[in-house]
Amino acid sequence: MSEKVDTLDCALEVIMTLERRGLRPDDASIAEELSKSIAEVQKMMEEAIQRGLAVKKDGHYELTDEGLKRVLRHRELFIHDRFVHGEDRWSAKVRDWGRHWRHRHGLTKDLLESFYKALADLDGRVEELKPLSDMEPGERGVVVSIACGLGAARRLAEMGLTPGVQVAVVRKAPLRGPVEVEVRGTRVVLGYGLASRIAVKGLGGSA
Amino acid sequence: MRSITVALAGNANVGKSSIFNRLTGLSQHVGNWPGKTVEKAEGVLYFKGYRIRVIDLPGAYSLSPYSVEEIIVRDYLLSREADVVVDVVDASALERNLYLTLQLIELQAPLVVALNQVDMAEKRGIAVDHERLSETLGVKVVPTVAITGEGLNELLQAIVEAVEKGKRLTAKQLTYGKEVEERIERLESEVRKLALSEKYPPRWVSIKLLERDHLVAEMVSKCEGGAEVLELADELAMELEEMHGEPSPIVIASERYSKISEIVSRVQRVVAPPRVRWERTLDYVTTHPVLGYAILLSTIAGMLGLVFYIGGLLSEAIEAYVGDPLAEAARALLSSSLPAEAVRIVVDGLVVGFVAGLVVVLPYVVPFYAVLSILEDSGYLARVAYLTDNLMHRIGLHGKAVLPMLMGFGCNVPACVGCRILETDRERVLCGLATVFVPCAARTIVILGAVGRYLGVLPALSIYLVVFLVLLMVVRLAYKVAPGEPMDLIMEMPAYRRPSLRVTALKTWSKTKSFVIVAFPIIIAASAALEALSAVGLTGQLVPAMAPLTVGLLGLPAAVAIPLVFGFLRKELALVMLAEVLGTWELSEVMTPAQLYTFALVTSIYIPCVATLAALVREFGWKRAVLIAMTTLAVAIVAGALAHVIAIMLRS
Repeated sequence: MSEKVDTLDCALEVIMTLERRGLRPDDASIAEELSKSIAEVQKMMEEAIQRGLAVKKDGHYELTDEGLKRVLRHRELFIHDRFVHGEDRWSAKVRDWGRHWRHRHGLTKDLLESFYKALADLDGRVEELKPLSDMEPGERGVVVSIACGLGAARRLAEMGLTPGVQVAVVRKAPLRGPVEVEVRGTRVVLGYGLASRIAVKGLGGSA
Repeated sequence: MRSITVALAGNANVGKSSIFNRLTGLSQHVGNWPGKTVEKAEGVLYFKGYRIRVIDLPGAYSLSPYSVEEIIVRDYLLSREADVVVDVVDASALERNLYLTLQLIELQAPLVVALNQVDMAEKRGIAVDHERLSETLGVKVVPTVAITGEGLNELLQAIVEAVEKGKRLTAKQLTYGKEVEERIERLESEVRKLALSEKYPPRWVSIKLLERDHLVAEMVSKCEGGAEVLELADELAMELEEMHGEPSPIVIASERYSKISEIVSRVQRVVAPPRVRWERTLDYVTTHPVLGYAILLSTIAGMLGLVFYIGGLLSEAIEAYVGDPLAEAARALLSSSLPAEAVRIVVDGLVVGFVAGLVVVLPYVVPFYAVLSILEDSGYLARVAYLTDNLMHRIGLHGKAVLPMLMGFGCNVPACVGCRILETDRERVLCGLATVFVPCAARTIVILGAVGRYLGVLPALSIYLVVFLVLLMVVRLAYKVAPGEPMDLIMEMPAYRRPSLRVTALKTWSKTKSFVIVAFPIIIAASAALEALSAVGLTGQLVPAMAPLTVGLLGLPAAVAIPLVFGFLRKELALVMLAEVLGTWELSEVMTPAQLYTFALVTSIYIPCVATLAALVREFGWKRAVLIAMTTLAVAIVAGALAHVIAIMLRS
């Protein structure tokens, strides 16, 4: 994918997020979210409109159905490549995503549904997410989603690791060892595999 | 005298067992929960004219029905046997601890909260206003320091007051956020119409149904009109799931935590920066990628060395001053009145069996329990799990399994029992399978005595290596075929603290006691049974019967059938018996190096011993215990035969 397409995806994501928050995305607010100049945003949005991904109404943008689909697909690809495989992959080859998730990755229909819902409800850009296992010691973040079996998800929730909670990585054992995090005033150690399925939105910070 | 039953509930690592030990001292009894392999500790104390029975419930983070411990806690509380439930809360980790408290309140347990480890919280700069917490929760909150016993008198006072007040101490019910609360109330009004609402709090039943708790759902489905309620519950849970995009148990857990955050912000203040430099340094050093492993290795080596050293000393002393005189005395006493055969069964069977337990098992088990209790209480064990999780993952286990595996070096029996610290049934069985391959003290004696002594250190070490390779392969295979969801490590990392001598002593004592109760009868009975077999002359037939296996497959002298079979009783005696049947202690004169090696290898792998088998049966049931035992037997024969084949190839 070219650089240009990537920023276009980002812009579309920002529009979707702002709409979700009940705001009216215009050139200025998109520019602010992306930390780009208004002129750049205008250029990008022209292209988006041209390609039928967005429309402009009374000075603010709205995603078309096509644009919405594209954002969701972009998020899906990102999660698939980054979280499920842990590296950049050739997900372009996949034709039927529902089938791929179910058969290749063993997601049940229910889980898939809640996954898609989480994608649609994501607050912010998907590129801001990363696996908990990729955070460095001292880094803080907010848990966005936990993609594991219900048994483990429940145990995590009981230990205080619920979606939306703030966590800080305390330390990581070498060679893909477990990750120790601080959550709600206590310290919890998570196996590497599990930590890599927890999506976190970074807040920065250091030891 | 009036009597009161008090149950102690709380998370793991909150000092619950310290409170229990402080309260009950030596008057405690450790057994199992009926039908479960979870420890039940009970004790009695007297206070202000009351006889107070204290029950230490298993540590639990929640009351959901997904681990044995949590089901036990829940069932016990629902039975309403306890007059007062003391919820032990760690003041330095209030937020996580209140999660259980909230559920106890939902269950309408007659609650008193012990706000424990207030000293540690203070050191970390956390101040908890216990009076305000008491007001918020609507229950009595008593600050305590279990390690020193501070506040325990006040706690007892609060318990007695709670009972004297006569009425159930039901706390205020906490309300959830609007979306959840509305649904709870809607469901509750339906649940109230069911017959079970007389026995269980309807609000609690409703919350559990929304959480999709399968045990409560089952209870409800048995009631008249239950099906409609379940349908409504499912519908409401689905609404919640749709709204939040998370499974409803997670939605409710999040709700509880947001409620808790509210409470915590009201009662807790961070007053000063933490001043626990030594703790942080220790934490840093013991989890360091280089230093941490160095410390880990020396700790394990030191621990094993210490245990074997103390064990060896004790063992010799007991043998000389208790074992031998006892056998002599029994022989002298009986030989005049009983026939020689019967004397043999009694003395060599019963008495020697008892002495074996006394001499072999106890000297190694007691120091092991003591050292492990110190490692556990200090918080170091969690660091060990952190450091070894990666390694254990290669086998298919995770960091927590390291404790039972380490115990296995001393004796496999406590190791099997130690598998209880793992959460799911699947993990426990896998860990049990792994532990029986760990060479225990008795097998170390055989390896050193047969191989180390005659062939040198390297061949002896190579046996350990082979045994660990076998362990790795077997457990990995089992990991693939065992049913259930594989679980990653999820473990609380407790802060370091100074272990208390008193608690260590009490724990060691009570664990040893329960070990003796399990293992001794089996060791004695099996020992007598085998003696009886040889008395009627059956052992003579063993040698030719097993020749195809011993001579044909393994290439050993035919006579080793006897030490191999009797090794099932006491592995370390396999060597003595081998010397006996071969008529010499100079084993290298009658056996080739390859035979010595094969003998030690086979002895190290097959079914640990009768006491371990008994422990396996108790922990995992007959079927799985036999399966594990048979696996070890089959693997031992294969490994022995391979060793034999390799020896032949090397020779030619």
